[in-house]
Amino acid sequence: MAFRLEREKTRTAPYILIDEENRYIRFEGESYLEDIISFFMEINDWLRKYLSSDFQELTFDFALRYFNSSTTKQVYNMLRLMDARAAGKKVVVNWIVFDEKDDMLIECGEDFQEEMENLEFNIIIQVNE
Amino acid sequence: MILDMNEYTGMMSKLNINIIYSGPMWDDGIKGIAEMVKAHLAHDDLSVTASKSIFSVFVEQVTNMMMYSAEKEKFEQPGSKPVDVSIGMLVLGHKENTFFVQTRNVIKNENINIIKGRIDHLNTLDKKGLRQYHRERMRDENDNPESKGAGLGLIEIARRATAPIEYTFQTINEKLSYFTMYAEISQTIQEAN
Repeated sequence: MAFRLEREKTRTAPYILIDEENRYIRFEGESYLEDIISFFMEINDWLRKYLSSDFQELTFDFALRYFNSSTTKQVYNMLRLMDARAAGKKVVVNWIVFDEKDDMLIECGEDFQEEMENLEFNIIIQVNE
Repeated sequence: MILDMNEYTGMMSKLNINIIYSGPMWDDGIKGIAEMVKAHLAHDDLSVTASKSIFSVFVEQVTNMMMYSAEKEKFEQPGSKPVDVSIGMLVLGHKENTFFVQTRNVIKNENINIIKGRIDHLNTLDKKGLRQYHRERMRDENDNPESKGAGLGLIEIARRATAPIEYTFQTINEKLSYFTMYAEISQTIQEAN
């Protein structure tokens, strides 16, 4: 059975989807003032298992509008995990920014992009009408 | 006896205070205050960078207090067991083109030099230097998954603040002191960058 996890967003916790069947992860919303370590535990457990399997591809749509420094750290760790297993595979991160003036989010994406060696990291400005 | 509210509003406006809170920092209470801060910022005509910077400084300062306050109180929310929560005080204010976040909490005296050293170091770095330092610290923290990333919170405050972080330590007794931290963010932050 392919793993699937879907969590509705709250005011301070993001929407999260892990859809192993479609090799897809999505984060959306905001993330702050939460017990972030336990929150990411389940995600990382699955991620480690998936990355050590004979996988071919994985896409991660990252669409958080605001996240605090503890979340930044957790996301960075996730990306490093993915990057370490990405050589020869199709691992794609789409860093989705909803406001072209959001320098904070764009800068953070640029820094993460530069830190990664093997995965494909796209910064996408997606302004909704 | 009924109190004269003009005294309070007068004091708040004299001190440029928009929001002030003193007491237990329990999860849902703080989320409520965060909601209020957000609504307050949405009301003003701020750039996305300015409003996110102010909100981010608020979140990181409050998180720091919740994690490191040496003063705790048993707090019971309806339907759940009493838990130890941090006691602290926070102020969000606004004067002319500048917002500020000031927090105060009790710390152990043995931590004074650590905190002082961290902030002093951050204050020597410019925005580019802070960005670089943040990346280095993130790499270091990646090797230490148990860390809550507190150092990163202070870096975030320094990155968003548009003036050096200010602080004071006031001795309570031989074990404890009050730690007060002040960070300000100019509304015109976008043009400054």
